[in-house]
Amino acid sequence: MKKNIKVISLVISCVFLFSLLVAGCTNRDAKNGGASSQDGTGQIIESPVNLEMFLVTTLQVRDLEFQNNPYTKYLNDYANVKLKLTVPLPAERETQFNLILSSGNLPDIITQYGYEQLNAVGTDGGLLALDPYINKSQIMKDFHTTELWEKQKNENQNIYVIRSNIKETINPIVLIARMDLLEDVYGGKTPSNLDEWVEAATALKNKYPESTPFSSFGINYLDFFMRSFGVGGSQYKNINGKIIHVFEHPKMIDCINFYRMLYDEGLLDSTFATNDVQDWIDRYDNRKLLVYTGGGTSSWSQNTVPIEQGKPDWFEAVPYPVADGVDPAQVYDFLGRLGGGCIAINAQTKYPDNATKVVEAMLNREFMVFTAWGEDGVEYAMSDGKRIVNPQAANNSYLLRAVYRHMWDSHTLDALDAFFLAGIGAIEDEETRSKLAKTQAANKEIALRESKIAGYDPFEFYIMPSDVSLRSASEREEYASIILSIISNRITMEEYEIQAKAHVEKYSFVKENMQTWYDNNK
Amino acid sequence: MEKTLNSFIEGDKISKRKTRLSINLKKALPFYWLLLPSLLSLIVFNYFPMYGIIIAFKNFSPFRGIMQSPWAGFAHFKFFLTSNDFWRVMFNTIRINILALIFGFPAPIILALLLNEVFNKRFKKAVQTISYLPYFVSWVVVAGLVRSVLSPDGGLVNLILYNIFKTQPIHFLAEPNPFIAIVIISDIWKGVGISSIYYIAAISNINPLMYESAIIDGANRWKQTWYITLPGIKTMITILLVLNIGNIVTIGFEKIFLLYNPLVYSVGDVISTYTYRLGLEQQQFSLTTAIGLSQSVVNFIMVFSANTIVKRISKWSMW
Repeated sequence: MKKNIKVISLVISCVFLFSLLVAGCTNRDAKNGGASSQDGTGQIIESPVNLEMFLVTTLQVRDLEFQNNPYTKYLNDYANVKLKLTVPLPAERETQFNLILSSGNLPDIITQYGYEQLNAVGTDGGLLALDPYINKSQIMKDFHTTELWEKQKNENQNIYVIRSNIKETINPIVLIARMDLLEDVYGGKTPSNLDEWVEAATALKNKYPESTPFSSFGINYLDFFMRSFGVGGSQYKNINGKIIHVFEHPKMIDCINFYRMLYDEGLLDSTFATNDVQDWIDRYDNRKLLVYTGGGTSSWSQNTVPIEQGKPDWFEAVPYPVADGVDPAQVYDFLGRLGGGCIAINAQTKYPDNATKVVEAMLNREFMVFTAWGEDGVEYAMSDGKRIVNPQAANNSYLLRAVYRHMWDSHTLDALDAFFLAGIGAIEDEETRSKLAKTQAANKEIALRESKIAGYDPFEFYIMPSDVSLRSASEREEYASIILSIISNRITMEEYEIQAKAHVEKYSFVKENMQTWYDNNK
Repeated sequence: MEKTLNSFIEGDKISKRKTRLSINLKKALPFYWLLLPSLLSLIVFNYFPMYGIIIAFKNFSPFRGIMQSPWAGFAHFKFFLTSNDFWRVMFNTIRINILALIFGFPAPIILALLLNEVFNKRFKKAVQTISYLPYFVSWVVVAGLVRSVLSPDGGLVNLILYNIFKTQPIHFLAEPNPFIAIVIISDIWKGVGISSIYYIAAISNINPLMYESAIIDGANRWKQTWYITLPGIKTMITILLVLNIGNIVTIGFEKIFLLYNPLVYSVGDVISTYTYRLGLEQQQFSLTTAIGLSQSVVNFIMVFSANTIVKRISKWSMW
């Protein structure tokens, strides 16, 4: 018996020991490829190399197939690779990206939103310098103007990260309203100023006491009327060449008083400060949210879901109300010259030429048109030189195609036209199709007009130095705390003024850094 | 002669110890084999990675690796020790932990003592099971429940308050002081059952004859609890108190992160959320390692000091 116990305990401990030893082992896919073989004519052909790609998106991509589709095939054939794509869900994107960075184990090709973070990785030696490859490739060279290529050089004068091209995208932030609710409670009129918006919201609240005409989730989406006072968007503003914090803006107090009035009257959601994104979506879906901000030329698509569901909800862009004494250029959203989407290559990749070819393919206009319209004979058919869209096929693959358009922004005018034709093609009722076409035209007109007035963002190319960024790590949270506290009456106006002043003083180094950059680059 | 005798006796003792050791080793060898994987696991996953502490003294880049990254000396320590943000979050952390210690530490002891007084075994088991269950619920779910129950917009607590006292809705999670109370209460609710297990086990080790003697001497239930039960679990209380004090500058990340919002930032921003912002959002690995190392040093000092004080007071200590 004793001997049996000894044998059993020895076996168990060996099993534990073995499993302990293999516990940390990972199974990396063998990076093979590059092997040559000869075809029937004696020509040497290279077999595709395996590359890993981290492709980000803001779209809900659950259940989409990324390994076997025509768009991955295009990239594979173009670059002679076999791509293994990782496409995280939007909610997991930042976490997965940060974990990848902190592991030091980057995929061969990395995409991200946010140039600064990826650029810092490049400066740190984690990314391949792309200058030699850009100079060799006409497609890559033509992707941006010379001036814009210069803007993407880091402090070492190397380009590690390529930003997306948005010259074919006009999708600024505009104010989007529920037209059916305005029809219901405001006689179909579109409010033209802040007082009229308050009237409309009051009428809505009186008729539907459970409604939340205005809402946000914390500081997010709160700037629906902050923009009207010129204090929405960024916390730092350029007023006649002088950089100020929004707390110093002459219209900030008026803005705060306006929001406090909305809150006191019950027009602003009582839990706006502590809502999470699901709470906001609930207000949007079920609590008659009257306005929110969104992309101007893409927002017509918000109507497709209610149309399918047979609901009367109707969304349309409306002119942004401008508060008295505010320059409209400070209200409307700026156009950008470089997009937020970025792509880079791991410095340790075994196949830099193939990886660069993949990047070149993503920058190729042919690929942009391909992902905008889909495949000939599937998503559309050519007739007399025009594309006739197959609505069902086009709608089925829209999301998938939009993901691959990362370097061109998913809302290029081509893609929007294709998406619109597909969307409208799927609607049988002629009146609804006509209404949707009018909405799309109206949205486009407002987006183009307002963004033209706003012009370009003077800080588009500003990159905050890492030491400034580190010292201001808590700035946004503190700013949000002060704003939300004063709007929800948790602090008095006197306390707000003290806190705001202290906040501006505490983070004055950020303002100084931005001022210096502006003065050197205007 | 004496010297020889003494050395013979010493030698005899040593050889007896050796014999005892070898006999013990031989007898218990299977158990040492079973212990080996855990020991190896401890060494490989807890001791070996300690060399990573060096990151705190370097400007670490994951692309250069630890050895290739340049030295920074004490620059990171200097940064956070002179940063207002750090002292604010440290103060918030210690405040929440002290309050949790004052109110949360006695809770499982009281639960264990109360359960000890229950004679109906079925009821006792049911209460124990119900009290353990929240421990297995994720903080994500708990935070959702808390937000739902305390919501000013149809939440259960506000509904009750309105129906009884006709109060206006109170936004508990938006007020700094109630926020701290909510964090502590939800932590107690989640952990009281599982923590009470230690005390229930300790109580079950108390000799029942002592209770019988006490009854004979005329002690009622209160006196039995005070003079027998509590002294009987004194050791367990001491151990857990010392360990809790050793975590005074550490606080769980999820419960704060899931419950806090900008309105309670002044009291709710703690060291773990600060480290999260710097470490994951800003990739400041060296700085956050320096903060973590400092926390560990402080915790170690606290554990050691608490143990010394307990030893002085009760003549007993963990080591």
